[in-house]
Amino acid sequence: MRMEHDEILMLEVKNGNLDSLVPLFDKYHVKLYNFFLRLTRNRETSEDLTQNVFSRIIAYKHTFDEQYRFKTWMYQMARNTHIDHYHKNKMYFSDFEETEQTSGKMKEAIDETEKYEKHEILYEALNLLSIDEREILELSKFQDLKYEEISKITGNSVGAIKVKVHRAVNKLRNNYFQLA
Amino acid sequence: MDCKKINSLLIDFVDKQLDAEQIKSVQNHLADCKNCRQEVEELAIVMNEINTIEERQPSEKLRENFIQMIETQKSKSIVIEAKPIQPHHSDNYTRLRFMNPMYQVAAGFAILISGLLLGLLINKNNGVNNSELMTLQNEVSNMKQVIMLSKLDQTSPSSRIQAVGYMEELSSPDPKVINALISAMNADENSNVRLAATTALSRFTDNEIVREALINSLAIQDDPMVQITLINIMIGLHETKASSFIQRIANNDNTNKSVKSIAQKGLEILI
Repeated sequence: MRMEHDEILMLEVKNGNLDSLVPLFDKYHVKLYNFFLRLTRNRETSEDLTQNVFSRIIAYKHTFDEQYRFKTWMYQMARNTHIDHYHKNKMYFSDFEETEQTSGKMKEAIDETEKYEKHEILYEALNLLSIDEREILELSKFQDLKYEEISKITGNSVGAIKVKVHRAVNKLRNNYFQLA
Repeated sequence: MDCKKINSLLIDFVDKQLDAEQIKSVQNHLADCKNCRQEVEELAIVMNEINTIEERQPSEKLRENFIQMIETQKSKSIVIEAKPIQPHHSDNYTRLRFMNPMYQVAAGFAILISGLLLGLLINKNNGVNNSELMTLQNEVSNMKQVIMLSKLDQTSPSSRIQAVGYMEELSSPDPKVINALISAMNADENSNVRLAATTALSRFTDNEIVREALINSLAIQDDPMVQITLINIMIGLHETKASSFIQRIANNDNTNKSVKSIAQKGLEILI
């Protein structure tokens, strides 16, 4: 009898069996890639960041606490990976105002990635949000994590998360119908 | 309820996250409030957009790079394992290794006996009988056991695991070895040593003492990997005597979630 639970696999990784990370990679890497793709709108960056998450998992495997779900812990790594990347790039663009920076970066990204025809309005509406708002929408709506899980990932209270999600969704809704 | 209170529920209403009572109060409000109806319609459209967004596939390169990273990491960890003498406890390790009198005696004995054996093999034609040879072979394997037992007392977990590994290979270990393995399973401070000892003991389940010890160990282990290994051994043996212990693990609030679900699956098989 063999159980393929995420947590058991991660415990095996924690005990030094790195091969057990392969099924976890296969299960989650597309989700993570899309998580980064929507936040950065850059395919190459998103592949690098996805790979970084798994390097982090190996580097921090001893800190994995079996009381938590693997998925929650993994998104915590993903979030930190994105924050690091964002801070590095922000320093690079530090001459620009926040809004100019996003719209400039967005044009570049659209040229580089393929056009998002079907959901173009949604993507544009998302891009008008701040990075924090996009991140909270990403975790709660695109990755379908529960408020309790997001609370563990970000360290904010469940109540605060609820308020943030509501604000971000309503802002997205307003942006969307202004563009549509 | 007023618009403001209802408004905070609308997103979860569209996402179908509310309970029956909340749904009812939202529906009642929507029947009378055009603004909120409009808002719900808009939210439903945006949520639908989010839910129908298609996943994009990364290039093949991503997986290739990942596999390569795993291989690199694995070869790094082999290098680390091959050098068990870490600077911070190297003094301790070498001192134990060379000053332990048991070791010196054992090593001397081993050399003496293997020399004798070699001599016997060379002079086999000179009428040495088989029983003498057997006696000497037994002595060698006894010696090996003594060495392993003394190794199990060492400070470094990796050498204790190594000792457990040797014991596992013995075809019929004597009670001393069995006892050493049982106490390593139950009392070693390192969970990896406990796990190795548990796995080693699973090879000797024909022995009633070993079986008994494995069952009883279910009551004291708190490391998830050791618990899972023990439960799997019990399932493999169809050991119904273990079911009350497994039940207790399944019922304990402090038990790891994955262990719990394995314990429950195990109970279904055992009971």
